[in-house]
Amino acid sequence: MGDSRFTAIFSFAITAALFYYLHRHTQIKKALQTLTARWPKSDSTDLHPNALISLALQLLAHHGLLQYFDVGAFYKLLTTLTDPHSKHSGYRDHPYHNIHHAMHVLTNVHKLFQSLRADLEINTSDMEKLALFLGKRSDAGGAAMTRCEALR
Amino acid sequence: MTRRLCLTFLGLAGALFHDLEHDGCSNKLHREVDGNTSTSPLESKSVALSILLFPSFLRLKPLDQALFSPLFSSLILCTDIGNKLQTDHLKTQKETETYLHYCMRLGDIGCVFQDHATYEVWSRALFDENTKAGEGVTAEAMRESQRSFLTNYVRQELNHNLKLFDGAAAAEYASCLEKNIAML
Repeated sequence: MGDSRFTAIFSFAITAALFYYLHRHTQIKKALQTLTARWPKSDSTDLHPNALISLALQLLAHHGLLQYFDVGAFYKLLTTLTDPHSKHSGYRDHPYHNIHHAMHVLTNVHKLFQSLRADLEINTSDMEKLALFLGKRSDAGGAAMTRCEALR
Repeated sequence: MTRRLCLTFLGLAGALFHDLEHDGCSNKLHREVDGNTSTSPLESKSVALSILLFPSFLRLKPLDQALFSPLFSSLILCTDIGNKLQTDHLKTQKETETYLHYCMRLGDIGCVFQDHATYEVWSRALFDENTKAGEGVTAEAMRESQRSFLTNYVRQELNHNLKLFDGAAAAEYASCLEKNIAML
């Protein structure tokens, strides 16, 4: 009796988690499609602030950058910044400079980067060092490494 | 990691944090009312906050911060349109940081390269914000200022640097901008 009750609760929890994951995944995909695929006709003002978190994570994943972040900490930070009730909220409820503007600029920058010519020559020493630093960090399995260590 | 990926990394982070804690007033109003004499008071605030936040998710050590912070700061500060961007050396196509700055600036005012309905939503929001902040701008004055901004500043800067983008995208940006100017 006890076992079957435990199994039912366990199955329910697994199903709920699965539904939650699928919901989040759909939300992320929807946010990205709404904002990028239909550009230049996209507008973000009808999206829930949570979409910024989804969009940011999706874009970082899209560009293969997620591995350079502590995703848990980044998620927590964005949740705090986008929570209008938090005293640490970073995006205020202004008509223009609000969370939707951040979302809009994020999409625009993504779009502009994607449309930069492929043969554009990119060359500065600082960029090179940063690339090296991040590359080395990635090779080391994400362990923090100083610039000096990376350049060694 | 490629250099282009680094550029993307900085750009996306910059876009996310460039207007943190924006108080809804313009830099001009801050200078006039508060007597704030710094070049970009609002952007400086965003820089300070972002730099404080980075270690929490990037786990940078101090030496890495020393490399990352100046690049990131310059990226945020360049979104202040009041500061003229030195775009002349884009002709050489070798200044990555300037590409980054340029994309960031265009991204910040990206609605001008979108369809007119989207542009209108954002320009109306800007008008509401200016009104709320007590800048006393009339609708007609706002329209005139937008027309002047798009014609004298955005069009010039875009035309000067259209070669950075692939053909179809460049044509799309220029076409949307011209349509928005015509509809004003």
